[in-house]
Amino acid sequence: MAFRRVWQFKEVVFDYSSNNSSTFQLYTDLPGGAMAARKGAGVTMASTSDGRKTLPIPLDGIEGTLYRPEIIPGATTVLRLYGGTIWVRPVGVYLDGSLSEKWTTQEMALGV
Amino acid sequence: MGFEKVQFYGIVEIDCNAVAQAVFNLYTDQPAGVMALRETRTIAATSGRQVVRIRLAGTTKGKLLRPEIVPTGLFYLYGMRVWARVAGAAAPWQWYAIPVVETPEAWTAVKLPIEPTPDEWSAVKLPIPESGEEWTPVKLAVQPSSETAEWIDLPMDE
Repeated sequence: MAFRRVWQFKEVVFDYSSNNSSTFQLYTDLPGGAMAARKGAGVTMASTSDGRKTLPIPLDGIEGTLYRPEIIPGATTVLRLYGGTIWVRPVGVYLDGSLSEKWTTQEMALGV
Repeated sequence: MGFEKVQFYGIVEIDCNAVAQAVFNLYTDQPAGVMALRETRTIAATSGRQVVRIRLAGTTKGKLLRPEIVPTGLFYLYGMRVWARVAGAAAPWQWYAIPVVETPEAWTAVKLPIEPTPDEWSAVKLPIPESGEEWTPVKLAVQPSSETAEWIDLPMDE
């Protein structure tokens, strides 16, 4: 029986301002069990010309029991990060056969 | 009580996303009253979420049952139910839900741990020494005069 809680990620939204671009990356531990970048080379957070902006970034298909968001401003970028929200949901039963996981119940009777 | 009566199990439906092939096992306690493996079926890999229907042998029965899924790779289980009826009675076939931890349909917002930026401005005192409210006497650097007269030699031509 697998007891770990796996989360599916839908979207992250940042509230920020910057004078130049930055790069967002999301690290999770699934698949594979090791923390790895899941957004390829990263997602560019464009300059807001110092105005405040809300940026949604889709995360469809990304899963993990652990996650770590990361934002790296460019060499000449001043980034002001005001807030961030990530949208997730837990998977009820997530089994990984490569880890010899299986699902079963207790012995039970149907009905009452 | 449900466990007092023998039931026949006809169909199992599994709401799942089988990224890789899996095996479905069904253990029951009949015949002989001992839990044993009675049915084994292969669940082929699905393309996304799908309801897989497994028709059991018509003789599969039990007072107790225990389903089991053994995947070879990733397997997402969303729900399961069994089509069963009480043996020896004119009871109808009906579906019974098997308890599976629910996967919510809705997404939940989780705030990232970013230090908040307050909407209001805060006053911060600059390190400038304060000016006193009262006057303070300060002695001037004037040589004090002697209280008594003193003789001094005056330089005179002879």
